[in-house]
Amino acid sequence: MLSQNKPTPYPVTLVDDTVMIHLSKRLTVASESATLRETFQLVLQNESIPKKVILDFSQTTFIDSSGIGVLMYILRNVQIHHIELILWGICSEITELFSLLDLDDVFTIELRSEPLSPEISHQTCKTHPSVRSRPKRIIDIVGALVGLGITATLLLPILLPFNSTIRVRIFSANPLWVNGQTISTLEVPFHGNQC
Amino acid sequence: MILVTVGTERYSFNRLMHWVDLLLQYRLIQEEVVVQYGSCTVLPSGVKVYQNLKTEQFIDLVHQANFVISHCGEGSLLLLEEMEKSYVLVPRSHKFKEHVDDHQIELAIALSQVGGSIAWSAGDLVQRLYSSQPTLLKTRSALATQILCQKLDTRFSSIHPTPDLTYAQSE
Repeated sequence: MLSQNKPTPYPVTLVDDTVMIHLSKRLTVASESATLRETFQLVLQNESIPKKVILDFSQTTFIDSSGIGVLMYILRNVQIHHIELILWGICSEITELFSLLDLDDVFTIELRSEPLSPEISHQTCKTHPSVRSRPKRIIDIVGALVGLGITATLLLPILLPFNSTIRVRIFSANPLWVNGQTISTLEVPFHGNQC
Repeated sequence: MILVTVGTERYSFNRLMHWVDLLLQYRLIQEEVVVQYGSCTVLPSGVKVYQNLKTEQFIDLVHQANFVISHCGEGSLLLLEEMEKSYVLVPRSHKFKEHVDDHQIELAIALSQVGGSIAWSAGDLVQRLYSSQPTLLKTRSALATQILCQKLDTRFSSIHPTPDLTYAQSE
């Protein structure tokens, strides 16, 4: 098994007569398209021309017209050199773009190589459906009110005898409030209302 | 021999099986492949398969393997690090109903930030398989420490020359 990473701008994996070019996140006019063209030219300049070229799009999420242009350039060249060209890891956005441009029939796309984006699905961040349910919230509030009503009805006769103010009022002949002067600590007179 | 393991989860991980099948079909893997497939319903063609393995049998297979392709489980990661095997981890995804949630993706993101060997696609799998970079985190961290020490030495040796300074290397 032969394997080596060539000193090309894009990482290249060479296994026997198959070459895999690993593309970057974007394939645009900025520099990536030129880099891909250069990488492909270097692959063709190799001593033995490969039988298969696989373009690994698993990281690529955006292609502009210059990217499409360089793909057409590669397609022309592989046809000249009788090389099989396969595209791997095409994401749904690029599949859509290819179908809009009728390129899905021109290129061989390996469908089983769908990549996984390194993102956590938002499904797991959602709360339980009951938290978002309005009828449940209404039942909660009504239930709480009924429960508090029952508690209040039961507790009122139980707690009333324990309340000193009411007990004094009901069971004692003395007035609830005492008006006048009393002697406080250190025989200091205290004037005011006291319970 | 290349060992592919998906753990003992009750969820299938057919995506990884498809990727391995693809690599075999395109002759990007030419070695013998042994697959522990757990609950997978799709199997790569032309490989030796085991549904589940006893711990001793599994460890024995890991010993024999040149490279291990594993799901991104904590147990597998720790075992592979401990046994110092070259490996690549493929996270299971909740989106494809491969696990109850995305904790394997969370672990994979965290590992990739510290240089862990993670494959997000079949292409990554090929790249990791033929990469000359060490996959073990402890080797990478030892290398990083060594490089940092050398840089600090170069930077500060002119100020405080320390000719006898040596660095411990954990190989």
